[in-house]
Amino acid sequence: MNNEIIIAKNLTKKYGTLLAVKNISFKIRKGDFFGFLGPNGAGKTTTVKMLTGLTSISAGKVKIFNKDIIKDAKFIKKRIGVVEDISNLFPDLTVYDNLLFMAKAFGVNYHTIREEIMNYLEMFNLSNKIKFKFLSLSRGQKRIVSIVSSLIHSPEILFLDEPTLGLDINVRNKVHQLLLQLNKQKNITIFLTSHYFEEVEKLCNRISVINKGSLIFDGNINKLKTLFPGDKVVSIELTKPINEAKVSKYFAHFKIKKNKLSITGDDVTVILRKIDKFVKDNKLKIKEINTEGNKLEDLFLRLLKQDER
Amino acid sequence: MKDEISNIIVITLKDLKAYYFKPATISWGILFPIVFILIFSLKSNADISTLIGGLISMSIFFGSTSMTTTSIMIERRINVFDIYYTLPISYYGIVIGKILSGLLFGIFTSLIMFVISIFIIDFKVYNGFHFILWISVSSFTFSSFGIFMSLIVKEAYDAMIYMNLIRLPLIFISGIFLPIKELPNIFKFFAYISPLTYSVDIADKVFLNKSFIGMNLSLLILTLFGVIFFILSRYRIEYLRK
Repeated sequence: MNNEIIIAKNLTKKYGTLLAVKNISFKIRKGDFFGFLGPNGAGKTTTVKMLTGLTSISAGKVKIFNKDIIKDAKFIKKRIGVVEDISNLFPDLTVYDNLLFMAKAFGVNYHTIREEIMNYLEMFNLSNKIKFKFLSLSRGQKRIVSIVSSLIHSPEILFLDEPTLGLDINVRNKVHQLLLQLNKQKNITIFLTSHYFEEVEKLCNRISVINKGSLIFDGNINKLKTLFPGDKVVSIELTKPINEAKVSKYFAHFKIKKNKLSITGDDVTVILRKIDKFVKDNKLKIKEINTEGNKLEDLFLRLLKQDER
Repeated sequence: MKDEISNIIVITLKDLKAYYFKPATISWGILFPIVFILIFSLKSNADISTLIGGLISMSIFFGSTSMTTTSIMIERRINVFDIYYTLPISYYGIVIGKILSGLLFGIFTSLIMFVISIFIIDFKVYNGFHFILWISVSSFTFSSFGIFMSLIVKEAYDAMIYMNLIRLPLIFISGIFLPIKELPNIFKFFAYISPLTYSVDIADKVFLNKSFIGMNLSLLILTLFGVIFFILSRYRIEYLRK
């Protein structure tokens, strides 16, 4: 399709013998707000680094704006903004000099640089820090300045690796507002990795989940919900293995693995009542019991559990 | 091409602004050579005017290498170096930007030394054009050397330690204080693989109108050293991206 702005095909990254990203493929359309989820060490940051040219690609291809990230690196880099997982700008330069450096490096019109910088800093109440060295800023302030540095040249695609990590709720909301505004009003494509599920749920129209270097889901939250029918899941671990035929007399939707049983249904109370009856009737003992919902975080955990099996 | 040149200048100016007044740059780049000149002008029985070229070569050596090593060392240590990989600039462009800041700082330190020397030492410059060539090529080569050294060390903290382990012995075997022909054979070998030797030889031509190796040959070898370090640095930057 013409509006596919990022195409990753069989992307693989090896660090020595470690396979950090395994043969993943995805396509992102222009204007997408794409959430990239995964547990720690799953390969999110490595993927972002490969997509943005920050690290080499062991195998596979990345096309951005229909151009190759290796052959046409300069063309692509000029049109993208990157916020890495750690806030790093030059520590001995002031906030203004750092942003000026980035703006000049991306060829921003000299006459509008100062105005652009001030607008962004005022948005986050940081205009009074303009002459402060980057080194002297708090962690949250450094994060904001890093985000601003990636926006200063008005990129067409933004790659944000954990952009709101360490920010307080007010500042995080301001960042969300800004990102939504950039996405909706300026049609900027955003590639976001985050550990905040409510953030991804609130902002992204599409998500992919990576686990142990492999892509295990690609779609939107509704598609993810259809993978796990029923609103609620109750998981129990019993003291001894369970017979599937016996379980089916009590529950319509369930999964068994040895002495572990996951039951899906619309109402936790009803499920729990049935579990109580099932346990008493069969003279079983419960070792552990857990409930899960259908929020993105729950779905994500269920997806990971399923992948582990 | 215009964007590439513009970004090279942006990197150079940023480096000069950020690292010009760093303690390592000031102490090794300016104070150390000045102290050397003062010590020799006060204590040495040798004619200080015969040492001036070598001492200025040494100040360029320490100035340029300190500037580039300090900037890359700091940036690698805190992962700021990654920023260059996000910029629309080639690997060669990054190296040129870094070299230029070291080159300018080398020229600056050599001119400081030159001006100070005018007031305390009686000497003559035989050829102004050779003088400019000597300062420029020396600054280029030593900057490239500093960049290469700070890129090959695994831990950025170690760059200045290794740099001094190399720089300090080179002072004594590169013909500044003792002519190369008078060195024991084992030191002669190291003298010929030291870029400082060729800078000092050109300096002798500029200030004393004599050259042990030959002005043109020294200039060629010194330039070659610079180009080799420059190319190696470019590939090292690409390698570090991995």
